[in-house]
This record gives sequence, structure tokens and C-alpha cells, in this order.
Amino acid sequence: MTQASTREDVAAVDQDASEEVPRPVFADLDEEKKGPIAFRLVRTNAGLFVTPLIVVAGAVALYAYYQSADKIFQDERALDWETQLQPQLEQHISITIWATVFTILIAVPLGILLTRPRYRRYGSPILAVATSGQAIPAFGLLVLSFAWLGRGPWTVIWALSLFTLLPVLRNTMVGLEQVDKSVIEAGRGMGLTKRQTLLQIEIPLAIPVILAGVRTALIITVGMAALAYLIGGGGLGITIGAGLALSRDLVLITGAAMTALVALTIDWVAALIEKALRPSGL
Amino acid sequence: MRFKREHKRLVAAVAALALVAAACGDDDSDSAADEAESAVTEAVDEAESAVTEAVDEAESDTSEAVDEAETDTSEAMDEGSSGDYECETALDEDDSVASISELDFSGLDINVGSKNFTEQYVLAALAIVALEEAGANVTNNIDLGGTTVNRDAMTSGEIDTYWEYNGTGWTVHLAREDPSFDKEELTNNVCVTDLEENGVRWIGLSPFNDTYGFATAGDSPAAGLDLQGMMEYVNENSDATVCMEEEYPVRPDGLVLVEEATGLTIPQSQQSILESGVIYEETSNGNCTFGEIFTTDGRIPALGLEVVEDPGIHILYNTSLTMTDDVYQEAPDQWEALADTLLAGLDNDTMAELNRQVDADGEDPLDVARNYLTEQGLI
Repeated sequence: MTQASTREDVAAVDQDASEEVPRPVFADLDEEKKGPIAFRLVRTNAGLFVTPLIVVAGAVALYAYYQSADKIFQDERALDWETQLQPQLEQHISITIWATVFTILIAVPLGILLTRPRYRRYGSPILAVATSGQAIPAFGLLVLSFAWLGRGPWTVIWALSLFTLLPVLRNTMVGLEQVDKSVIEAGRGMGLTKRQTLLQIEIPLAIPVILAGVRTALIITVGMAALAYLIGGGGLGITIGAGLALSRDLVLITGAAMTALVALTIDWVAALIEKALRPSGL
Repeated sequence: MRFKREHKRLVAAVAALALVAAACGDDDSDSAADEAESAVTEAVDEAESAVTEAVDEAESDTSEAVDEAETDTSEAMDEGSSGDYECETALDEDDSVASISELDFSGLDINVGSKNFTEQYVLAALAIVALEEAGANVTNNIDLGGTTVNRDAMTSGEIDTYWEYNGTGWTVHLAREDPSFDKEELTNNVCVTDLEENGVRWIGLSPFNDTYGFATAGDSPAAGLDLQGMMEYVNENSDATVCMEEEYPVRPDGLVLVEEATGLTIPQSQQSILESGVIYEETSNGNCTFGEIFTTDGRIPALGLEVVEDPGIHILYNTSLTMTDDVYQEAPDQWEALADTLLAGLDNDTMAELNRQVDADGEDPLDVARNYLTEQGLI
């Protein structure tokens, strides 16, 4: 995307240059990878295959453990797929995704804003607020939110998006600030407006760092969503809490292991998205 | 080395000579062998007769002993209908006294533990205050931990006593099923079995029954129902919610009992899992139509909640003092009297009121206990 616009601009400016515009140097790099496209994809993305294998292996091991354990009445009822585990799984994932969406919607624009020269001085106080959001223990934050907003999954979602504001906000700010100033200058020099520079140069270059922050936020949220049940938010915390209250290891381990598998899966999906959004020049 | 080798050769030679001598000596010892044989036979005969005599004696002794034992057992059995009269007597008789000053625990070191909720704090405090007034040297271990912690501490001797519930004793500690719904019968069964199997005594029986239940806000349109009515209401009104803690829906003494007794279930969308303490507040302000509560919780009177009537569906949880037989034998009559005296006035409402003083008024359990005993004229 970046290459095309640069080429066009170059062509537009250098009207009497030769007709064949020289291809940028780094275009050859992709061609150097030999072999059919499938092999190339697997080779460059090998790391991405590890996580789903671990998740599947973990799920199989958990299922085997469940089948082999001696189950009493409480275990059967607490681990019933249709009435307990499946709805809890759906609630857990739903809370995580919504909380992260709100975090991104708040933190990324805020981070962009705070790196603009005009608003740079508001950066410290707002970062302080975000830091306190994470410094308060998650349980305390949930209880406070419950006092203000009542019970249910949406209270949890708001509380968790405040809780994970810090990593995403800070990463957005850092990501934008670490963009090489000379690249920005080059862009401005080529005639891009400030907005175009932001959209076409700064943000794409900052995306890896921003997405790293989002992945951190996702993992934290999945773990903290296990507390949602205390204020009526549902989620896999119900199973974990039941296992604790009943002193039943099988229930406790199943709840905790499922939460871990959800965390791994969501992180993997985020890695895929990061791969897709990463600009091809990097 | 050389010396040792020669030593060995010497020993081998001596051994060989001895063998040869023995072999040669056989021919000369026929008569000696015959003599030996007859001596042995005599000895054997003597031994045989001695053994027979001894056996006969033993037999008669044993049969005598067996007869004696039989008469003893049948006597004992006659005295008690279920074979363990000690528990029946403890529960049937009212050994309560008019004042703690009539009890004497002086010279005894007693360690009292409790579980980790308000009612247990109050009950333990009652025991501690009364025991101190009666002259015992009391160690306060209120809020020791959960059910398992207290039970293990008591059976291992780390604490001397704590208040336990008959339903818990039957289903958890004795791992039995189908508890009786008659409180005397249940406590007696627990008492007898625990004494036989674990040497643990159950003393006294509380009028109050702190079991699972449901409540609505005092001004709720759903007030005044019984459990059957509640289940029907929930199924007829899709906006009615039932809030429960995470344990209750999966316990064998929990929601399943209500479902089986009423033949109805609560739709998943109308169930809400909440932290136990939050349920009372949410029920009181109407956010939960029905909340799962404990029937003697202090927040019921504090928030003006109406308990849903239970015709006998939830398992009974009356309390008794539990202790090992050793501790009991230190002052058996005193223990019986103490338990009966302390429990005499504790019905559901009184227990809930004492709990309320701790939960809603923020009073110390020991103060609440002392006030109660003073009001009752016991100290």
C-alpha cells in the first residue's frame, strides 16, 4: 500500500523521468524465498502452528482426565456441558471480547491524541489515571463497579476495560513515538498532509507495538473475567468457584484449565490478526 | 596371604578327618541310637497327654467366658433400644441448668474452635463465655477455618470441641446418604454412628435449623409463597430471577432437592450466580426476585426479608457440640448440661437475631454472647 502511493507520487512529481519507474529495492526480498506458496507460508508462519497444537493437546488431556476421574454428584452437575460449561464459556469469551473492544476504542484514539504536539502535556495525568486503573486489584474494581452500576456482565465489561486501559494506552503512545522521525519527514516532504502521515505512515508503523499491548490486555482480561461471577457476570469463574467451595479438585482444575485454554486460543487469534495487519514492508 | 592359605588348608584337613571319624563311628552307635529312640517316644507320649489336658482345660474356660459375655451383651442391649443407649439419653433428657454457676469445669483446659461464618462465631462465643464462667481455662479459636479444618483439628486433638450440624455430620463426615428429616432421629443416627466409627460425641440438639432456603423482599409480589409456589412463579413469570451462590446449584443437598420435590426446574436464563453475601442485598432491593439464603442469617431480619416456606425439602442442619470421647469423659455430666443450657432458647428467630447483632450492628460475637447469657439469667 505504502509502496504504491510512493511510486505514484514519484511518478507524478518526476514527469520527465524515464517511463519505467525503478522498483524499490526491498521489493526483491519476497522473491528470494523459493518454493511453492504453501511451503513459504508454513515456513514463515511456523510459530503460529504451535499454539493450536498446544490448545488441542491440552483439551484432549483435560477430557481424558475428566473421563478417568471418579466423579461424585457435585462433579457431574458442576461440569455438565449444556447447562454449565458451554454457557459459561460463551459468557467468558463474550466478556473478554467486549472489554477489549472498548479498551481499544478508548485507549487507541486517546493514545494517538496524546502524542499530538498540542495535547502532549495531558499525557502524564491521563497515564496516571490509567495506571491507577490497573493498580487497584481487579476484585476491588469489580466490587466498586458493582456498587455504581449494579450486577451483570456489562458491569464486568466496563470494569475490565478500565483495568486493561494502561497496556494499550501506553503501547499506543510508545508505538507512535518510536516511529522514525525521518520517515515522517520523508512523508511530509512527499506532500502528505499531517493526517495522511498519521494514517499511512505513523499508525501502520506503530501497529506491531499497539497490537502487542492489545494482546497483553486480552490475556489479562481472560484471567480477570474469572471473577465476573461474583457480581453476576457468569463465566468460567463459576466452575472455579464451585470447585473451591466444594473442595473438588476435578471441578477446580477443569475450570482453571478451560480458562487457560481460552486465553491461549484468544492470544493465537490475536497473533493471526497481528500478522494480517502488519504492513508488508516490515 | 601365604599364612592364610596354609590356615585354610589346615581347617579343611581337620574337617575331612572329622567326617571320616563320624562315618566310622556310625557302626558303633546302634545301641545308642535305639536308646535315644525310645527316650524320644516316651517324651512324645508325655507331651501329647499334656497337650490334650491343656486343650480340654482351655475349652471349658472359653465356653465359660463366652457364656458370660453373652449375658453381658444381652443385658446391655436390653437397656438401650438401638444398642447405644448413651446417645438416646443425651438427647431425650433435658440436662439444662438455671444458671451457669451450677456447672463446674474448673481445672480443665478447653480449646474451642469454630467455622468461618457469623453463626459459628456466636455459638462458639456462647460456649467460651459459659465455660470461663464455670471455671475452665479456655482457649479461643473462633474462625479457625472451614468444616474440614475444624473436624480434623477436633479429631486430632488440636482443639477440644466445636459446634457441628447434624446434616453436615451425616452427609460429609460420615459420607452417608438419605438423612432423616426428623431432627432427633437424624442427630441420634449421627451420634451413634460417629461414636462407633470415630469415637466422636454429639451433645445437645438445637431448636434452630440453619439450612438452605429462599427469600424475597418483604414487599415483593412474590412474598408469602412456599417452595412449590416459588418454582411455579418462576416458571410463569419470565422476568423473575433466582440468585444463588456457586455451590448451591451443584450440591446434592442443594437445588436438586427442590427440583425433585416440586417437579420443576428454574430456566437457565432466570438463574443468576452471585457471591453469597451479595444475594441478600440484591434480594432486598428487588434485583433478584428470589435469593438463596441461610435460614438463620442475620441479614434476614436486618433487611426485612421474607423466607419462602419449606415444608421439609432441604436437609436439616441443627447444631450439637462435638468432641472426642476423651474430652467428653473429662466431665460428661457437665458437658451435657452445658450444651442443653446454651441451646435451650435458640430457635430460628433468636439465632437470626444474634447473628444480626454481629452482621448488621457490627458487635463483637463475645459481647453478643455475654449479653444474651445475661439476659437469659444464666450469668
